Amino acid sequence: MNNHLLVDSALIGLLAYLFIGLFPQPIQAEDLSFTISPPTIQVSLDPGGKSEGILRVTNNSNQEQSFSARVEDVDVENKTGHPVIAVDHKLQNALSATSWIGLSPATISLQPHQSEEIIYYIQTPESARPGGFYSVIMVHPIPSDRNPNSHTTVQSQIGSLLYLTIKGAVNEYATIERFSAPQVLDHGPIQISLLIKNLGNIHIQPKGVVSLHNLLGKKIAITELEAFNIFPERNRSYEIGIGKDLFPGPYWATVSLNYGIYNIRHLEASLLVWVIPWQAILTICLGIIFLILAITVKMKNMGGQKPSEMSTQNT
Amino acid sequence: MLMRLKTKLPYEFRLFVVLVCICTIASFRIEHVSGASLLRASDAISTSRPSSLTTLSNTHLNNAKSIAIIDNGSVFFQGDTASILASPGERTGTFTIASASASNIPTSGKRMMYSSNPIPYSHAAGDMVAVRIPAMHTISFTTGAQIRSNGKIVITFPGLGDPSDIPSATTFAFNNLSDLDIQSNNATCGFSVIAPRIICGVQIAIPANTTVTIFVGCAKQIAGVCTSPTAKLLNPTTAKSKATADIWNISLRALNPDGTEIESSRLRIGTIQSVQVKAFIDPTLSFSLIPVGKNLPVNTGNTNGCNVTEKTHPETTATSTSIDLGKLENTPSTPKTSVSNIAAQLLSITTNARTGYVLFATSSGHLQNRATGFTMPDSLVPGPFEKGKPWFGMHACGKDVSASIWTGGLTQVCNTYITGSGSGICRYGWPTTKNQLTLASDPSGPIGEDIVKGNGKTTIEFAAGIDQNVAGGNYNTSVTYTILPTF
Repeated sequence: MNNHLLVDSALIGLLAYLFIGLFPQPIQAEDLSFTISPPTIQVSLDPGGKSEGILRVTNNSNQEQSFSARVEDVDVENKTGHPVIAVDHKLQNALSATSWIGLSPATISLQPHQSEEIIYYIQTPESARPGGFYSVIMVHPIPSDRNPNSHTTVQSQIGSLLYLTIKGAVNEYATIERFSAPQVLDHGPIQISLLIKNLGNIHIQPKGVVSLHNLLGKKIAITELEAFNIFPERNRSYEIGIGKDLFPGPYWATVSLNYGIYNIRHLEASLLVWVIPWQAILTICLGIIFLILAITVKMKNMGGQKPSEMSTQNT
Repeated sequence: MLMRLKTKLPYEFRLFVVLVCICTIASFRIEHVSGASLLRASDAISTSRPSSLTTLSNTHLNNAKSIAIIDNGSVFFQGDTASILASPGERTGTFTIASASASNIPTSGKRMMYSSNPIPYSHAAGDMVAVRIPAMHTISFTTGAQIRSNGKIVITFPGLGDPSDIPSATTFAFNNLSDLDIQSNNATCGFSVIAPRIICGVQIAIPANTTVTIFVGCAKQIAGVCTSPTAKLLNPTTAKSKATADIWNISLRALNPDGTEIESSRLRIGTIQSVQVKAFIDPTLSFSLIPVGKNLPVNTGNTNGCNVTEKTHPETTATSTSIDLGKLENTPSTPKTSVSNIAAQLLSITTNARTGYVLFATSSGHLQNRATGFTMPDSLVPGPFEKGKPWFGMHACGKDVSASIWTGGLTQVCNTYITGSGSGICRYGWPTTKNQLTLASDPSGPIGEDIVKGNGKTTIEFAAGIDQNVAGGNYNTSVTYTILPTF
């Protein structure tokens, strides 16, 4: 009896093993996961001022992992506003805070699910001009094992954006480079393209609305602009759809926004858009033309027949 | 009842009981005074930045504008005043740091440090290079008992004491601290300094429950606020491997005129003492990378955001740090036939911050055979595999991915087919060293797996196909995923 039980158990175990083996593992074990805090750092200092803070790194994976941190220049793409690592160091000495930042320690080793702090020290020179300076503190895992036969080596890194403002007379100046829409539309909504350029030396975050007025000056729609930062010397594009159900006629779209540290600098622009349901009008016009033509042809036909009819009647 | 006890118990016994009670109460009071702790003791330092100390790695010649140092992890900033400390027969040279080289320049384990002005005096290799970081200490405590006139308050810093102006690895160097650099509030003191001790000779008795503040490194204080800081004590240097390791113990004792202790306390100050974290919930940005196993749908783990269901190759190996596409096969010539060598990874990004994120990739260059120099064709602008032609790249798929870039259509649904296979062909691109390739982005947070808009999951497919003209051998490259919060 006991022997039977043993054999049955072994068979069941074997079957279970084979059954599980039939199906591949849905996903391999997670072996790289980490967190930084905070993702953005904002510091405001006088020229020559100093500051320090903490960037916390957490190893979320199930194995020990070493991390390295370094400070890099950061730039921002036009239109999208996506930050990029400025590998060619074009920003050095212009908008870069990199040479004013130190990290300690620059390398840490973390046990699974352990956190550690990296201290950043900021020390600005007395000669620092008022305005914005930017850097990114990059944290990346130090690979412990590399597959020498692999085609592609994969590295990963997360950055914490650092916005440093040097107090003083900063230059805040922005312009609307483009505020456009199709001049004539068949129907709403009106798709407006807005491009704002920051010509100052500190980032700005314009806040405001795009509004739509009809022929009578009545406000019929309003849309709030998304609040995005615009990097110095870069532009940012906005795509706005406004006014869904519009009657035929002229409409004035106006963008009105404020920006700056005290949010008192103002930008405004307007444009005129005609909503003309030209397809419907064209259809009606074509219909009318067709009707006129048909009537004309009919009339001509009728006019041609009259003399013969008359002569027939006379005979 | 008491009357009855009085009559029953003899007087001597009652006296004995009363005396025992008095002695017991008295002993409690003595215990409270002697050996008690000073209350709410603290020491806040004006900066927790450690002093920096390293050594010259090479000889420095008089008036040269740069020095080579041993890179021991010490932090040096532009604008720091650095000193090359004199060995016997030398003189100390002081200069302002203009810039510093990256690590391992000029050689491994060294760094260059530059000055805009000539650095005076010659120095030998091994001489110490120091940046002194002085800090003001604000020591505060509340007395539990009276400190009598002619009593003392003794502050003892760690270590054996160092009166010099050279940063120490074991204590706060006193940097020629004098009694003029120490001020007190709510205590009238005659200060004396004997490193590692600062002694306040109490001139007027300090009542119990008085909050006393002593400023070390301050020329003048008004009502408990230092109005004229003269930071003196030098923060110790650090050789720590962990940021939270440098904790220093400071002893605080209140003494009677005869030297007996009234009360005491032990302070612990650390490198992050002056940093305040005000947020209740720390904003975070997290990243995880999970390789997709062999012979599995590439959208495994991301079925909600990515509709690409073609399978990874049975011979490919993906880990979190490498992609092995296996033995590369020819790019198909028949429409609607999938490229063979496909591997995939699942990238997950979460953040509770209002800023969103952008995920982009850069690379070390083309997939290249180092032996022959042959490179696989690729493009920064994602494009499809052409019939029978070699191609290599990566394809992104997910809710935060631009379908128009990666499939040329309105949806993410695609297969790694060659051109001419109809719609829904996955496009593959490859970044360069300087030109990044944006894989996914979401302009606003929070971003998490349970949020439909922008769930932060992106599947990355790697694929390669060859023809008969591609030289044999091993082909390698590297790719770096970078995740940044949106600006």
